[in-house]
Amino acid sequence: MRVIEPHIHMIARTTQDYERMAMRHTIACCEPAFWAGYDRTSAAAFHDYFTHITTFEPNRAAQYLIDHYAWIGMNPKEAENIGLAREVVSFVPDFLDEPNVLGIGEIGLNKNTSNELEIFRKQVEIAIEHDKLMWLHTPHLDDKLKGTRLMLEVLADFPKLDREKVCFDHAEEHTLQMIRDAGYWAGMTIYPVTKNSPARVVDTLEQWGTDKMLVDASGDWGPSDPGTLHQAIFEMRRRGHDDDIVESVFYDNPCHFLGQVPKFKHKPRR
Amino acid sequence: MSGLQSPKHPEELLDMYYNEMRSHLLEVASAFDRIERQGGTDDARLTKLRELARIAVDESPERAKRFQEYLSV
Repeated sequence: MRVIEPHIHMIARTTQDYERMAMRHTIACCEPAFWAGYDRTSAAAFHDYFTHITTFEPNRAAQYLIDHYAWIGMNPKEAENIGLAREVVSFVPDFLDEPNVLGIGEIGLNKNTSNELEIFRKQVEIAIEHDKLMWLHTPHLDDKLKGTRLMLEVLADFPKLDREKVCFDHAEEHTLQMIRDAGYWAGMTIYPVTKNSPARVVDTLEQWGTDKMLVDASGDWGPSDPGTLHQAIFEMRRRGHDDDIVESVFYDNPCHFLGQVPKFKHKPRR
Repeated sequence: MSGLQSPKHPEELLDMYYNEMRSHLLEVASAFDRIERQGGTDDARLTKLRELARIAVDESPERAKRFQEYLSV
Protein backbone atom coordinates (compact mmCIF):
# COMPACT_ATOMS: atom_id res chain seq x y z
CA MET A 1 0.00 0.00 0.00
CA ARG A 2 1.42 3.38 -1.02
CA VAL A 3 0.85 6.43 1.18
CA ILE A 4 0.94 10.14 0.41
CA GLU A 5 1.29 12.66 3.25
CA PRO A 6 -0.57 15.80 2.06
CA HIS A 7 0.52 18.13 4.88
CA ILE A 8 3.67 17.97 6.97
CA HIS A 9 6.28 20.52 8.08
CA MET A 10 9.44 18.55 7.38
CA ILE A 11 11.66 21.56 8.09
CA ALA A 12 10.92 20.82 11.75
CA ARG A 13 11.57 17.09 11.54
CA THR A 14 14.71 15.00 11.62
CA THR A 15 16.04 13.00 8.71
CA GLN A 16 15.12 9.91 10.71
CA ASP A 17 11.47 10.87 10.23
CA TYR A 18 11.95 10.71 6.46
CA GLU A 19 13.43 7.26 6.95
CA ARG A 20 10.52 6.13 9.13
CA MET A 21 8.00 7.51 6.65
CA ALA A 22 9.75 5.73 3.77
CA MET A 23 9.71 2.44 5.66
CA ARG A 24 5.96 2.87 6.13
CA HIS A 25 5.54 3.22 2.36
CA THR A 26 5.18 6.99 2.18
CA ILE A 27 6.21 7.91 -1.35
CA ALA A 28 5.41 11.62 -1.39
CA CYS A 29 4.84 14.42 1.08
CA CYS A 30 3.68 18.02 0.82
CA GLU A 31 5.03 20.87 2.94
CA PRO A 32 2.88 23.99 3.28
CA ALA A 33 4.59 27.17 4.39
CA PHE A 34 3.57 28.09 7.91
CA TRP A 35 4.56 29.63 11.25
CA ALA A 36 8.03 28.70 12.46
CA GLY A 37 7.17 28.70 16.16
CA TYR A 38 8.22 32.33 16.51
CA ASP A 39 7.31 35.51 14.64
CA ARG A 40 9.86 36.28 11.95
CA THR A 41 11.17 39.83 11.91
CA SER A 42 11.89 40.40 8.23
CA ALA A 43 10.63 39.48 4.80
CA ALA A 44 14.09 38.09 4.06
CA ALA A 45 13.50 35.40 6.67
CA PHE A 46 10.42 34.26 4.73
CA HIS A 47 12.37 34.33 1.48
CA ASP A 48 14.98 32.06 3.04
CA TYR A 49 12.24 29.78 4.38
CA PHE A 50 10.54 29.47 0.99
CA THR A 51 13.96 28.75 -0.54
CA HIS A 52 14.59 26.06 2.06
CA ILE A 53 11.36 24.17 1.36
CA THR A 54 11.86 24.38 -2.40
CA THR A 55 15.51 23.29 -2.48
CA PHE A 56 16.92 21.61 0.63
CA GLU A 57 13.86 19.58 1.65
CA PRO A 58 13.25 17.98 -1.78
CA ASN A 59 16.89 16.84 -1.79
CA ARG A 60 16.72 15.50 1.77
CA ALA A 61 13.48 13.62 1.01
CA ALA A 62 14.87 12.17 -2.22
CA GLN A 63 17.47 10.23 -0.25
CA TYR A 64 14.55 8.18 1.08
CA LEU A 65 12.77 7.91 -2.26
CA ILE A 66 10.13 10.39 -1.11
CA ASP A 67 8.99 13.10 -3.50
CA HIS A 68 8.74 16.37 -1.60
CA TYR A 69 6.28 19.03 -2.74
CA ALA A 70 5.66 22.47 -1.26
CA TRP A 71 3.01 25.14 -0.91
CA ILE A 72 4.06 28.79 -0.72
CA GLY A 73 2.14 31.45 1.17
CA MET A 74 1.94 33.93 4.02
CA ASN A 75 0.52 32.16 7.04
CA PRO A 76 -2.37 33.76 8.94
CA LYS A 77 -0.63 33.79 12.30
CA GLU A 78 2.04 36.20 11.10
CA ALA A 79 -0.42 38.13 8.92
CA GLU A 80 -1.19 40.26 11.96
CA ASN A 81 2.04 42.09 11.15
CA ILE A 82 0.31 43.57 8.15
CA GLY A 83 3.25 45.53 6.73
CA LEU A 84 5.51 42.50 6.80
CA ALA A 85 2.73 40.28 5.45
CA ARG A 86 2.12 42.54 2.44
CA GLU A 87 5.83 42.49 1.65
CA VAL A 88 5.97 38.69 1.84
CA VAL A 89 2.87 38.29 -0.32
CA SER A 90 4.53 40.45 -2.98
CA PHE A 91 7.16 37.76 -3.66
CA VAL A 92 4.97 34.66 -3.23
CA PRO A 93 4.38 34.51 -7.03
CA ASP A 94 8.15 34.33 -7.60
CA PHE A 95 8.18 30.84 -6.09
CA LEU A 96 5.14 29.37 -7.82
CA ASP A 97 7.08 28.02 -10.79
CA GLU A 98 9.63 26.16 -8.68
CA PRO A 99 9.65 22.46 -9.66
CA ASN A 100 8.12 21.20 -6.39
CA VAL A 101 5.57 23.96 -5.73
CA LEU A 102 1.95 22.86 -6.05
CA GLY A 103 0.21 26.11 -5.18
CA ILE A 104 -0.58 28.65 -2.48
CA GLY A 105 -0.68 27.49 1.14
CA GLU A 106 -1.26 27.21 3.87
CA ILE A 107 -3.29 30.37 3.90
CA GLY A 108 -6.41 31.20 5.85
CA LEU A 109 -7.29 32.47 9.29
CA ASN A 110 -5.95 32.03 12.81
CA LYS A 111 -7.78 34.43 15.15
CA ASN A 112 -10.22 35.68 12.50
CA THR A 113 -8.94 39.27 12.44
CA SER A 114 -9.31 41.89 9.72
CA ASN A 115 -5.57 41.77 8.94
CA GLU A 116 -5.72 38.02 8.49
CA LEU A 117 -8.74 38.41 6.22
CA GLU A 118 -6.93 40.98 4.05
CA ILE A 119 -3.90 38.75 3.54
CA PHE A 120 -6.06 35.68 2.93
CA ARG A 121 -8.14 37.47 0.31
CA LYS A 122 -5.04 38.82 -1.45
CA GLN A 123 -3.54 35.35 -1.72
CA VAL A 124 -6.78 33.87 -3.02
CA GLU A 125 -6.58 36.49 -5.78
CA ILE A 126 -3.01 35.41 -6.58
CA ALA A 127 -4.00 31.74 -6.69
CA ILE A 128 -6.87 32.43 -9.07
CA GLU A 129 -4.76 34.74 -11.23
CA HIS A 130 -2.05 32.06 -11.56
CA ASP A 131 -4.53 29.16 -11.73
CA LYS A 132 -3.00 27.42 -8.70
CA LEU A 133 -4.29 24.98 -6.12
CA MET A 134 -4.95 26.32 -2.62
CA TRP A 135 -4.25 24.61 0.70
CA LEU A 136 -6.26 26.33 3.43
CA HIS A 137 -5.54 26.50 7.14
CA THR A 138 -8.65 26.74 9.32
CA PRO A 139 -8.25 28.11 12.86
CA HIS A 140 -7.63 25.91 15.85
CA LEU A 141 -9.97 25.05 18.71
CA ASP A 142 -12.70 27.53 19.69
CA ASP A 143 -12.08 29.82 16.67
CA LYS A 144 -12.45 27.07 14.07
CA LEU A 145 -16.20 27.21 13.45
CA LYS A 146 -16.36 30.98 12.97
CA GLY A 147 -13.11 31.07 10.98
CA THR A 148 -14.23 28.35 8.59
CA ARG A 149 -17.49 30.24 7.97
CA LEU A 150 -15.58 33.46 7.32
CA MET A 151 -13.24 31.75 4.87
CA LEU A 152 -16.19 30.27 2.98
CA GLU A 153 -17.69 33.74 2.77
CA VAL A 154 -14.47 35.18 1.36
CA LEU A 155 -14.23 32.46 -1.28
CA ALA A 156 -17.88 32.96 -2.24
CA ASP A 157 -16.86 36.42 -3.47
CA PHE A 158 -14.81 34.80 -6.26
CA PRO A 159 -17.21 33.42 -8.89
CA LYS A 160 -14.32 32.26 -11.10
CA LEU A 161 -12.90 30.05 -8.36
CA ASP A 162 -12.76 26.35 -9.24
CA ARG A 163 -13.73 24.69 -5.96
CA GLU A 164 -12.08 21.43 -7.01
CA LYS A 165 -8.76 23.23 -6.60
CA VAL A 166 -9.23 24.13 -2.94
CA CYS A 167 -8.72 22.00 0.17
CA PHE A 168 -9.86 23.16 3.60
CA ASP A 169 -7.49 21.52 6.05
CA HIS A 170 -7.92 20.85 9.78
CA ALA A 171 -11.60 20.04 9.25
CA GLU A 172 -13.36 18.47 12.23
CA GLU A 173 -16.80 17.20 13.18
CA HIS A 174 -18.42 20.64 13.36
CA THR A 175 -16.95 22.12 10.15
CA LEU A 176 -17.15 19.26 7.67
CA GLN A 177 -20.71 19.77 6.58
CA MET A 178 -20.27 23.39 5.52
CA ILE A 179 -17.03 22.61 3.65
CA ARG A 180 -18.54 19.70 1.78
CA ASP A 181 -21.83 21.46 1.09
CA ALA A 182 -19.83 24.19 -0.63
CA GLY A 183 -18.09 21.62 -2.84
CA TYR A 184 -14.52 21.86 -1.54
CA TRP A 185 -12.04 19.15 -0.62
CA ALA A 186 -11.66 18.54 3.13
CA GLY A 187 -8.46 17.61 4.93
CA MET A 188 -8.47 16.05 8.38
CA THR A 189 -5.37 16.61 10.42
CA ILE A 190 -4.22 14.13 13.03
CA TYR A 191 -2.48 16.04 15.80
CA PRO A 192 -2.34 15.04 19.45
CA VAL A 193 -4.54 17.00 21.86
CA THR A 194 -5.66 19.91 19.65
CA LYS A 195 -6.90 18.35 16.41
CA ASN A 196 -8.12 14.93 15.27
CA SER A 197 -7.12 11.51 16.60
CA PRO A 198 -6.74 8.55 14.23
CA ALA A 199 -9.98 7.05 15.57
CA ARG A 200 -11.97 10.27 15.01
CA VAL A 201 -10.65 10.54 11.47
CA VAL A 202 -11.94 7.06 10.70
CA ASP A 203 -15.26 7.91 12.42
CA THR A 204 -15.57 10.87 10.05
CA LEU A 205 -14.80 8.75 6.99
CA GLU A 206 -17.47 6.27 8.11
CA GLN A 207 -19.99 9.08 8.49
CA TRP A 208 -19.15 11.08 5.37
CA GLY A 209 -17.57 8.60 2.96
CA THR A 210 -14.25 8.94 1.20
CA ASP A 211 -15.08 11.28 -1.67
CA LYS A 212 -12.89 14.42 -1.69
CA MET A 213 -11.47 13.58 1.74
CA LEU A 214 -7.79 13.80 2.63
CA VAL A 215 -5.97 12.81 5.82
CA ASP A 216 -2.68 14.26 7.06
CA ALA A 217 -0.50 14.02 10.15
CA SER A 218 0.86 17.56 10.13
CA GLY A 219 4.10 16.77 11.87
CA ASP A 220 5.81 19.98 12.94
CA TRP A 221 7.92 21.39 15.78
CA GLY A 222 5.21 20.68 18.39
CA PRO A 223 4.20 17.36 19.95
CA SER A 224 3.33 15.45 16.79
CA ASP A 225 4.34 12.37 14.86
CA PRO A 226 4.36 11.60 11.12
CA GLY A 227 3.50 8.03 12.12
CA THR A 228 0.01 9.05 13.20
CA LEU A 229 -1.00 8.97 9.53
CA HIS A 230 -0.11 5.29 9.50
CA GLN A 231 -1.95 4.82 12.81
CA ALA A 232 -5.08 6.01 10.99
CA ILE A 233 -4.42 3.47 8.25
CA PHE A 234 -4.16 0.73 10.87
CA GLU A 235 -7.26 2.03 12.65
CA MET A 236 -9.24 1.84 9.41
CA ARG A 237 -8.00 -1.69 8.69
CA ARG A 238 -8.70 -2.98 12.21
CA ARG A 239 -12.27 -1.80 11.89
CA GLY A 240 -12.54 -4.17 8.99
CA HIS A 241 -12.40 -1.82 6.04
CA ASP A 242 -11.04 -3.32 2.85
CA ASP A 243 -7.45 -2.43 1.91
CA ASP A 244 -8.69 -1.19 -1.43
CA ILE A 245 -10.82 1.47 0.28
CA VAL A 246 -8.00 2.34 2.67
CA GLU A 247 -5.60 2.92 -0.21
CA SER A 248 -8.20 5.03 -2.00
CA VAL A 249 -8.14 7.44 0.96
CA PHE A 250 -4.41 7.53 1.68
CA TYR A 251 -3.09 7.27 -1.89
CA ASP A 252 -5.70 7.77 -4.62
CA ASN A 253 -7.43 10.80 -3.13
CA PRO A 254 -4.20 12.81 -2.73
CA CYS A 255 -3.32 11.83 -6.31
CA HIS A 256 -6.67 13.15 -7.54
CA PHE A 257 -6.39 16.47 -5.69
CA LEU A 258 -2.68 17.15 -6.07
CA GLY A 259 -2.55 15.63 -9.54
CA GLN A 260 -4.47 18.61 -10.88
CA VAL A 261 -0.97 20.09 -11.03
CA PRO A 262 1.07 18.41 -13.80
CA LYS A 263 4.19 18.68 -11.60
CA PHE A 264 2.72 16.07 -9.24
CA LYS A 265 3.92 12.83 -10.76
CA HIS A 266 1.97 10.13 -8.93
CA LYS A 267 -1.15 8.74 -10.59
CA PRO A 268 -4.22 7.26 -8.91
CA ARG A 269 -4.90 3.57 -9.42
CA ARG A 270 -8.24 4.56 -10.95
CA MET B 1 -24.13 12.30 3.34
CA SER B 2 -22.95 9.01 1.86
CA GLY B 3 -20.92 7.21 4.50
CA LEU B 4 -18.66 4.20 4.61
CA GLN B 5 -20.40 1.34 6.36
CA SER B 6 -18.28 -0.20 9.09
CA PRO B 7 -18.29 -4.01 8.91
CA LYS B 8 -18.12 -4.21 12.71
CA HIS B 9 -21.10 -4.89 14.97
CA PRO B 10 -21.69 -2.62 17.99
CA GLU B 11 -20.53 -5.33 20.40
CA GLU B 12 -17.32 -5.81 18.43
CA LEU B 13 -16.69 -2.07 18.52
CA LEU B 14 -17.31 -1.99 22.26
CA ASP B 15 -14.82 -4.84 22.70
CA MET B 16 -12.29 -2.86 20.69
CA TYR B 17 -12.76 0.44 22.51
CA TYR B 18 -13.98 -0.40 26.02
CA ASN B 19 -10.59 -0.17 27.75
CA GLU B 20 -9.70 3.01 25.88
CA MET B 21 -13.02 4.67 26.81
CA ARG B 22 -12.65 3.58 30.41
CA SER B 23 -9.10 4.92 30.51
CA HIS B 24 -10.06 8.32 29.07
CA LEU B 25 -12.96 8.74 31.49
CA LEU B 26 -10.72 7.76 34.40
CA GLU B 27 -8.12 10.35 33.35
CA VAL B 28 -10.82 13.05 33.41
CA ALA B 29 -12.03 11.93 36.85
CA SER B 30 -8.47 11.93 38.18
CA ALA B 31 -7.74 15.40 36.81
CA PHE B 32 -10.85 16.82 38.54
CA ASP B 33 -9.72 15.14 41.79
CA ARG B 34 -6.18 16.54 41.36
CA ILE B 35 -7.41 20.10 41.06
CA GLU B 36 -9.85 19.68 43.95
CA ARG B 37 -7.17 18.21 46.25
CA GLN B 38 -5.22 21.44 45.90
CA GLY B 39 -8.22 23.47 47.05
CA GLY B 40 -10.20 23.68 43.83
CA THR B 41 -11.06 26.76 41.83
CA ASP B 42 -14.16 28.46 40.47
CA ASP B 43 -12.52 28.89 37.05
CA ALA B 44 -15.23 28.90 34.36
CA ARG B 45 -13.30 26.32 32.37
CA LEU B 46 -14.23 23.68 34.94
CA THR B 47 -17.92 24.44 34.43
CA LYS B 48 -17.36 24.13 30.72
CA LEU B 49 -15.60 20.79 31.16
CA ARG B 50 -18.49 19.46 33.29
CA GLU B 51 -20.95 20.37 30.54
CA LEU B 52 -18.68 18.75 27.93
CA ALA B 53 -18.56 15.60 30.03
CA ARG B 54 -22.35 15.55 30.05
CA ILE B 55 -22.46 15.91 26.26
CA ALA B 56 -19.88 13.14 25.84
CA VAL B 57 -22.03 10.54 27.59
CA ASP B 58 -25.59 11.71 26.90
CA GLU B 59 -28.19 9.67 25.00
CA SER B 60 -28.36 11.79 21.82
CA PRO B 61 -26.39 11.32 18.60
CA GLU B 62 -23.59 13.52 17.20
CA ARG B 63 -21.90 13.92 20.58
CA ALA B 64 -18.53 14.83 19.04
CA LYS B 65 -20.08 17.51 16.82
CA ARG B 66 -22.12 18.98 19.68
CA PHE B 67 -19.03 18.88 21.92
CA GLN B 68 -17.11 20.95 19.33
CA GLU B 69 -20.00 23.35 18.78
CA TYR B 70 -20.35 23.98 22.52
CA LEU B 71 -16.73 25.16 22.58
CA SER B 72 -16.99 27.34 19.47
CA VAL B 73 -17.03 31.11 19.84
